[in-house]
Amino acid sequence: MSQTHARKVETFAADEARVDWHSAALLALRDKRDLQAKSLPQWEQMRESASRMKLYVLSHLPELLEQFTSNCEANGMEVHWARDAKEHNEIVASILKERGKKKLVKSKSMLTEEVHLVPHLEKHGIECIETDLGERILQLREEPPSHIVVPAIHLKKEEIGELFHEKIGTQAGASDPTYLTHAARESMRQEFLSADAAMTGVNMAIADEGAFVVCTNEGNADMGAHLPDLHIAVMGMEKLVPDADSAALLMRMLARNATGQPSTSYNSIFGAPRPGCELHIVIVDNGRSLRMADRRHAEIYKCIRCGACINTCPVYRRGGGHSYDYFIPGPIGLAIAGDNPEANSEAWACTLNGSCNNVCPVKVPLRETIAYHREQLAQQKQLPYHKNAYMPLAGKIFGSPRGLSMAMTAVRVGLRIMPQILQRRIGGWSKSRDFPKPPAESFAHWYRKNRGE
Amino acid sequence: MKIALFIPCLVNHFYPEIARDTLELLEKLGHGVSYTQGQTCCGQLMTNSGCLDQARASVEALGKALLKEPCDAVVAPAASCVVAARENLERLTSFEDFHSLAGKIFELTEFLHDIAPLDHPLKPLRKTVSLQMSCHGLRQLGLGTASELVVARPVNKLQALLSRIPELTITQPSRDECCGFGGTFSVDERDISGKMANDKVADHLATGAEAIVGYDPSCLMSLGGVVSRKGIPLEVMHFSALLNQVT
Amino acid sequence: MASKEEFFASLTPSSIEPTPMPEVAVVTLDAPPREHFIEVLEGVGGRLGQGDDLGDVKKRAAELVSQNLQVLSLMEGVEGNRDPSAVRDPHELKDVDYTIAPARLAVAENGSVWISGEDLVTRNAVFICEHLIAVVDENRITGTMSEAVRRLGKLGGGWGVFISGPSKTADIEQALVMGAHGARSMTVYVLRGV
Repeated sequence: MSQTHARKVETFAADEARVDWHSAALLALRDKRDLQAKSLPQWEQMRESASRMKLYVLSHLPELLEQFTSNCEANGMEVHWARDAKEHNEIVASILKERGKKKLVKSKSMLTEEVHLVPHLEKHGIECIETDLGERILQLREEPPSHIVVPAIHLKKEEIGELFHEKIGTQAGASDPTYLTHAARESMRQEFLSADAAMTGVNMAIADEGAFVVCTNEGNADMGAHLPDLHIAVMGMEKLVPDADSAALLMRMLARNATGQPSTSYNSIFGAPRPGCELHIVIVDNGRSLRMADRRHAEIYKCIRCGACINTCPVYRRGGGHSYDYFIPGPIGLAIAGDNPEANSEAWACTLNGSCNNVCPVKVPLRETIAYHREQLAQQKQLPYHKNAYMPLAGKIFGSPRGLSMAMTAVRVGLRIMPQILQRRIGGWSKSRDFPKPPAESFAHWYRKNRGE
Repeated sequence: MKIALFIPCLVNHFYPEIARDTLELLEKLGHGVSYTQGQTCCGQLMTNSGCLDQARASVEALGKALLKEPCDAVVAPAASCVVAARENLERLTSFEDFHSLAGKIFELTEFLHDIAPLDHPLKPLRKTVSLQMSCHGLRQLGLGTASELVVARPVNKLQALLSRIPELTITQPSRDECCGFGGTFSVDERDISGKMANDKVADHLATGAEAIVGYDPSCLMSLGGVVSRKGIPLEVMHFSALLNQVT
Repeated sequence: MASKEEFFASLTPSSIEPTPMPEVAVVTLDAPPREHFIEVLEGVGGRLGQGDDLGDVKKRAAELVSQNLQVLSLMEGVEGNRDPSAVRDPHELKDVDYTIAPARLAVAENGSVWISGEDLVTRNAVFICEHLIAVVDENRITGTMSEAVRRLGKLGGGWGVFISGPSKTADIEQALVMGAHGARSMTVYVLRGV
């Protein structure tokens, strides 16, 4: 079993100024999202439509997959099927190797993080270059992303300046974001021009068109895809939408909800390969259908990866993205993988405040799904924080009016007689909070005395 | 109306004044109010950690105690306990009477706003208060419109009630973010929870208010713990204290 | 590696009750599209071209050529100094300073223009350039993305892109920087309709 989430946040949380800085950066995204959402009076109806459209998709997956595939094939693309991560990685590696490809430029894809594609390709001698600036920074630091939309949100510009000085030769001590970004542009341009294959993710796969949408701000997906003669697009099968109207609905919401922009700079719609070039699509299950077989877990696959739930999560903002076991942090990460007994404290890294549910553009029941994982782990007796030991006891005490009254009275009396200096040494609560000053008698006692039975 | 009080365990043992204020207030408003002994916990402590089986005995004992006295409505001065009591009576018990009981449990704010609207003349009170819109009340009970939602006419039932007090100045913190209590979260995740509570108190303090006023005693306990630890000049109170004082 | 049949056979049936496809409303905008488009375009870092006649675009192209810049014009009637018909490989465009391209549509709500691959010699022409100039007829401005997509018709079988302002990133401390990988600037000429 891994360290608890509470333990993992300790280092990050110890630097309060940095926590405040991190939290403020994410709140700025939340604020911009609010402004954009509030600029559309139909926002809540859009959420409802998007949610139902995704429920339609998830309840009609085989038909839509068939339709998407045959349309893609008719449009000259080649479709591949991967039941799990291993198959996905083998498919990609063999497409590249069969064509003698040596250098792949890739845009940001959560799927490739999920299946650990890059180490696999490197083993086969294929160089992989992350081209999203944030992802590239992390690749150079050999560190995982801490957020799905703004992957380097945990880093300060000085740290990036140092990294770039060492890796791409920027001036020592330089940390101006414009300077650093443009230096990365120059360096990455050489990578784009020398790559012999490109990979992108898929934001929406339009079933009745046999086309897919890729959204970026930097233009890196397009810059990559339109140079070499081979483009591989990889997608989890939940990325399907039935038609272009549905894709348009999600395009209207995605950037607004993610970063507070009316749109990403580029919404590129691929409906055919370039003449003389190849376009392959790899469709991946990797546990999705199994999770979807459980109704209380299934709706996580409505997610369109906007990251808004992460931005609004008070726990994520104060604990940082590297405090989670699963590669996707925050509410959606907990909702997807919070039932993993290996990371069993993860589902408790949440106050169930429900802000995530309200910002979700497709109404994933994040709060309820996280609560469900707690139930499952409780049933398996896989509870963290000593709960396996004390919860049955608490259940017994709280289940008996007499037992509860005696226990609470004992706590009350204890707190009344214990000096505050000692109280401050008790466990988690008192690290930053005093206990309340307990009254001499309970309400039940007072009522019996003053109002009779 | 004939009201049965549901006094959650935390209030019963640590904040009996909230229970007394609620009792007196409802009586002054002309309701018949009773309280039955033997009330336990809504089960939240256990169910929040997923321990549904461990919560059943407590929820059944609570249901039994509340059914002792016939009533039109059950009222409790604690939002998260109301959410848990309703949900747990429904899902953890199979007794029909418990299910219909769940349907008539109300949190004090929603009772005074929606069920038996407060129309009593209130005495003036010169004070500036900052509203603590705790999450369960805000997002599960709909005591207010959460800031994430796009709604043409946002509501805030606590503000609506308190704005009936002449001369009272009402403010709100800049954000309706969680205060970090979260049940056992406050102990398990002490660093994050403590930071959230500190941030929340700072946000309340920045409004210039003299008091934090809310509807959820557990969140108020957490904020009160920070106020006490840091010696911050803020009162922390349940809104029943304000209303009882001016009714 | 799985065949399609093996993949389908391995799918566990979804537990989600068969949900009918909801009606996805095609939302329109009340604001006058031209004004709204220009306002949002400038908000996303784009610029409005000076002038509303093709002659103004021609003049601008000539100016750029006279400054010894590499100008690739894909707009009929506008001359650059690179021959589009000579392009064999997208890598050849690596030194292009300006691409001038026709946009088939513009979208007011997000300041974007739709550029179709059919109008480009190679798809990368609008990404690899240092600066992008798009030209759109004011009668082709729609209110929202949903209206725009309806007007595009078939998407399968081709390629196109909605471009909303220059390439940008905020990956370093959330500071907005224009010119990440694609064009550093984007100018849109909105031509008076005929």
